[in-house]
Amino acid sequence: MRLRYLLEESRDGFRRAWGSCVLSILTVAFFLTLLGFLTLISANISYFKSRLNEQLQMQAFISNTLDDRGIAALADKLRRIPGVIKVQFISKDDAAQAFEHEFGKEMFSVLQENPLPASFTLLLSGQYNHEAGIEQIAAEIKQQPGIDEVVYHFKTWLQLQRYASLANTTSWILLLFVTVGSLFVISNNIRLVIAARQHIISTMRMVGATAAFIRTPLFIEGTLQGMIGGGIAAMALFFLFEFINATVPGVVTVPGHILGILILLGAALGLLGSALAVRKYL
Amino acid sequence: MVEMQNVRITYANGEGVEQINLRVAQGEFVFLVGPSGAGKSTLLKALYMDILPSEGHVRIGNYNSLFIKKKDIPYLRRKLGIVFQDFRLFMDRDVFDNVAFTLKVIGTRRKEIKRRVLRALADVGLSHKARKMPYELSGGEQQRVAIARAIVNEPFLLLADEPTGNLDPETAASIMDVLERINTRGTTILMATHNFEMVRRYRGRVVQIKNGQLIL
Repeated sequence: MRLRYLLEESRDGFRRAWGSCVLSILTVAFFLTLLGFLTLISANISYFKSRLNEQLQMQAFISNTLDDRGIAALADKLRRIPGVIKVQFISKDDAAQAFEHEFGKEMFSVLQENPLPASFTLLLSGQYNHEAGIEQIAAEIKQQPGIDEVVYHFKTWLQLQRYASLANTTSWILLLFVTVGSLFVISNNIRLVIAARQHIISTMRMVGATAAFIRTPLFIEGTLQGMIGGGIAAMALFFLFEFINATVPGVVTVPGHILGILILLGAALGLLGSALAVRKYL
Repeated sequence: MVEMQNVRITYANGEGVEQINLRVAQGEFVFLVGPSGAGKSTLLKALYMDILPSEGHVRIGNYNSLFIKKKDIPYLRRKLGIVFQDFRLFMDRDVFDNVAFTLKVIGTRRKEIKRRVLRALADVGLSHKARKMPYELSGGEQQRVAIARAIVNEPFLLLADEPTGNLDPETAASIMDVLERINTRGTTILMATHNFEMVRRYRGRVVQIKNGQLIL
């Protein structure tokens, strides 16, 4: 079989049946865009979850009786507690500023003094992102002399984690459906194209063409169509996520290798689709 | 060179052919004549091994239906030329590419393809329509393209299944002239037809088939 014949026949396949070719390319592009979109949504949810893990924190309020030296010693002790990865001191003035920023100056104009206590914001290790771990750390912090109260929003954090996990699972299930669905639609589409060529295929066999001779250009054609579809999907996703990122900063954008993977995936889908479709007639 | 011995082919509906014994010598022009449904096409299909007999055997040159493997059938067909009543042209490519396809199948070089296709088109009087699409041609011209495609490979046997069946008498006569010319150059021709009148006007051995059996 001559390479030149194969390439020419594959190219001519586009020219001869451009309508069905465009349909195949758009089908692949549509499903790969959907697939890529769901993958990136899933990646964003994972990113959000890891950010949530990083933000697992507590606030420990300091007794008003402690002087600066006592506060520094207490901070040292807190840093040594397993699971605490960062200790940040919030002075009474810092707390008042934050309060003012949120609620205005009314309270301070009525009161003569700043009633807000100084505190430590403690950033916790992701290893302790379970109820028992958090409570263990909170109990240890509470035991320290000079600590009045420990506040943490574990329940809210846990709920956010659960929502993120649920969203992630949902996107993976959707991803599975889209993958199976796309394979089905693409192979059916190529099957229709080949069914339309059934008459030609049977005549080719009558003049002595082997199955491989008929099949190979169809495989090349299917692969090329898939690659073009993958390329369109890659471009669509790139621009879509660039736009989303410009609107909502911090969203994970499309990494370069994903674009390559989409083109390869398109090629694989096209090849697989044509192989499934050709099997019926050859 | 072509031999059918005790061939029996039965379709699911019970029709078919049986007790077929036929020999065709090199260079012969044989008319297989019979009414519609007599089994003419079945017999031709057995010759290009689209159907294998359930009994007996078909031998075409070195190929025998008893021993042939599925993968070898394309190679047998490359040594034959087949012409159908409905032309079976590739409607998505022009006349030149329709004829050239037979040569591409066997990996003929581009230059050689051009030379042989143009010669085959000249043989059937269609050189001037090489770049026309099949749907731009009349029925007779389409059949001549089909004949050019069948002879471009210089087959030793040309099988024609009702090649004039869809054509008016004048066009049918021109197709018969082309086939006669091909035969005089040494190609064996086996042509199935239901047209007894036409057969009488041409030289050639006549084999009759009726209800799936040859009439001797």
